[in-house]
Amino acid sequence: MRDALIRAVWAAACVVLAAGLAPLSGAAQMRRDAVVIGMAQEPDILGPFSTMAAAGTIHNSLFAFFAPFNEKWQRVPLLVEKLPTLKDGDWELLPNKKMRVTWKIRRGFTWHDGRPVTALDARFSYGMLRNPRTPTLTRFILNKVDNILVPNPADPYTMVVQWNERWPFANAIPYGFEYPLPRHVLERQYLQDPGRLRGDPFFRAPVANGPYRFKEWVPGSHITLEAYDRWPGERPKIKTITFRFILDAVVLAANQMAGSVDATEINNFGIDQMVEIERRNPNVAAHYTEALIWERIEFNNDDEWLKDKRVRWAIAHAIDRETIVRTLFQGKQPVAHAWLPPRHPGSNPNVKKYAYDPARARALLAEAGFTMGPDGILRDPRGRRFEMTFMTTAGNAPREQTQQIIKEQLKAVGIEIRIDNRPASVFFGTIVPRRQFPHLAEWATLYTPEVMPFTEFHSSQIPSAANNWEGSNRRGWRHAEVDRLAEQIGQELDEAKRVEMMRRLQDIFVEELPGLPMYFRLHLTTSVKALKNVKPTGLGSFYINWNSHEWSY
Amino acid sequence: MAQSTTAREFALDLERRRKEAAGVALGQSYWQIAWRRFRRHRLAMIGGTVALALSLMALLAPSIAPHPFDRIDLGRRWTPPGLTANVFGTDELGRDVLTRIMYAGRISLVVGYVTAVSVSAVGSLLGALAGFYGGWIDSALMRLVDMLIAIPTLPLYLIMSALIPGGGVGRIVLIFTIFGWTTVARLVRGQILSLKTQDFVEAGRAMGASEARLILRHLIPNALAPVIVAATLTVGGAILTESGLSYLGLGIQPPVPSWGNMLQRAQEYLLKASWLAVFPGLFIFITVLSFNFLGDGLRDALDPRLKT
Repeated sequence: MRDALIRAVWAAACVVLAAGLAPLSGAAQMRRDAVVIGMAQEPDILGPFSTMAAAGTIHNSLFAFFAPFNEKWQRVPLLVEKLPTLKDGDWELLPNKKMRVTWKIRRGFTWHDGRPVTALDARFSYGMLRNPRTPTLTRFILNKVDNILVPNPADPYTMVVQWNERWPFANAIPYGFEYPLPRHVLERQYLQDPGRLRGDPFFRAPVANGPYRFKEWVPGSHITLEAYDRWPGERPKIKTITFRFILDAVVLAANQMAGSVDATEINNFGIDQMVEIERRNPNVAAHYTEALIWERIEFNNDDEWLKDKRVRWAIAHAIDRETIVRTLFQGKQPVAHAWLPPRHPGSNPNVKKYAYDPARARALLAEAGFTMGPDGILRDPRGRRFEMTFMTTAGNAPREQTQQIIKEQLKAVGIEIRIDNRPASVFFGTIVPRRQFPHLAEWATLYTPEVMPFTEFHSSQIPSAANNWEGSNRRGWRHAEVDRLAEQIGQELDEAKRVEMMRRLQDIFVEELPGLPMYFRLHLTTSVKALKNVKPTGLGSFYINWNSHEWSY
Repeated sequence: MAQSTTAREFALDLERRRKEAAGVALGQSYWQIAWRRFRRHRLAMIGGTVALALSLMALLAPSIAPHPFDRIDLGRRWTPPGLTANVFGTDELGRDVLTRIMYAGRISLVVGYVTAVSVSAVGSLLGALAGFYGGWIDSALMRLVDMLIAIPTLPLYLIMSALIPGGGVGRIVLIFTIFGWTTVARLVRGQILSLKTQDFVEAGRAMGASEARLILRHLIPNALAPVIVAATLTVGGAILTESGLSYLGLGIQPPVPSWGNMLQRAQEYLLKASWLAVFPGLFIFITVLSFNFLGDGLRDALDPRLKT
């Protein structure tokens, strides 16, 4: 009787669950011209003032980019007719290291209110983004551009970008931003008060120029886009794309397993979850895309112990990175020996490798003056216990697991680790930018193929109160040759020479080891196998739907 | 004759009940009566026994746990529960779940007990000051209480967790105490307001007792019963709140386990290794339930106005 009752309750629960999921899965799978993309993040706003990857994902379908990266990490002209080259003469080198680059906007593109997209929109966007009163996130490249001209009033599709210094990727995108904004929609508000532009209704419901137009945003639930009927290319076969916000990764994974979403992006999945999704729903493809995501442990190079590179080497030898990646990530994410992964042309396969060798680690620490204490923990020459703090983002499973293995492995060579993790908002809001980690801290950086080492490695880029906490050299590394290389790479137009300098810089990095590279993360996304032409790039700003206008069932 | 005996017995019984209700049973102290009443409360006895057993398990964890709580064995990840060396299975780093449950009990119960004691101490003292002195001290303290009660606590916990460095039990207890003393303070203030006009206080005053002595030796001990009940319920509440904070990644730092952080880390593996969530969840459930039953029983036993 009791068993029967339990069975009945279970059956009822299953029916309720199925009933709850049915409308969602119906929406996603029954309509063969609609796609639901699940994301574990909801954007704050849309447009260039948002830092959130969720906004970036939506931009990929909403805006036509000047020249997006494809899955082969090549820029493909879309809104522009071609990428300028020195050979063709539309990229000119001028005296005093100045440059002039001529771009032609492709005719036929219109904003979603029907007005044509012209070079005047790009010129307006450049001026607006460069204005210090607008909340632009970075003006690093914008500040290298002196001006943008549209020289011929009869040809509003041609613009000339005047650079005040050399920049190797001046022919990749016109002024450092991927897409223009509509001048006719934003100019009035911008001229009234640039400081309050972020609050303009445009950034909640943009008039864009991409293959999909904005339809609705239901906060806390979803954003829906619909195919734009005046898109100049082939009409998108998928009529609507809905970005559904399911903030919990476990729930999002369950939705993908149940088929309630057709794809996921910005999903916070771990490798284990990806494997589980594929195992439970054979109709779903898990995409493990090689990316430019560098996960590492940064050393605070101003710390008295960590200033000594023998200590840094010892830590590298004491940590078994191969076993960590093999066990925790099923070998899918390779150990990083430097800061650029093999797929980047600047990668240097010949850098020094720090093999797991606890005996070597102990010898190096002894050489650095450490002696073993009675409790199995080393003492420095002044008799102080060798205890260090290790910080990262609290609640991030792969990082916390890695941390605990490292704690055990470092203890085996006599280094005590105290874990002090903080929520991501605190860790990335204060701890990392203000260098408030006393010894070790783990995080990742997303690069693009156009990454330049200046902000990451130049000694002028060590954040401090004096420079208003600018720069990404949070490890506090100072190296004269690296400074020189970082400056030269930023101005070198010859790719072969640039690559050679990048490789040299990595050699120095690995030899000096101001931080310990851990592994290169993959970009993890999923999509139903029935959805064709899904080609994730693995690059920041270019998400699973970068080519959504080419998708079909 | 028989009738008069019955009537007399009835009258005596009535008198006994009346006195018992007033806490002055014949030949028995207040605490003896309370203990007798408590023993009659079956759920409270079960709750008390389970709470005691859990406390012993946590206390003796280093001696009785089958494995070291932080020993990582990457070759034994995800071992399901069963009659093996790992009865409750192993976690994502191959650590024994039973061992970690035992050690986690140390953290969770210490958080519960220490919070209960500190909240009671702070709340009793501030409540007594407010009730005894009245006037602006009372107004100021009670407005502070109103303010703290009105503010939603979870965001405050999050902010405090971010601001106060270190990730140990001390930080958690400090945060809980800062925001948790208000209930006890209100209870004690109410008690003191009624007690301070009674004869024994006047007598103490007449005999030259200082105000501090009156508060600490006479008033607070007489207001203790509701504080004990509130403290018991605080234990369960603190364990739950710690679980909540750990669930948000703000509780005890790894690799030290608490039932809350075990549950938090289990969420990612809910579909793959459900036992990682089931066991800590079960222990939180049983512990909180036990302390709530215990609190109910104590309230019934210590408050003579309530029927048992």
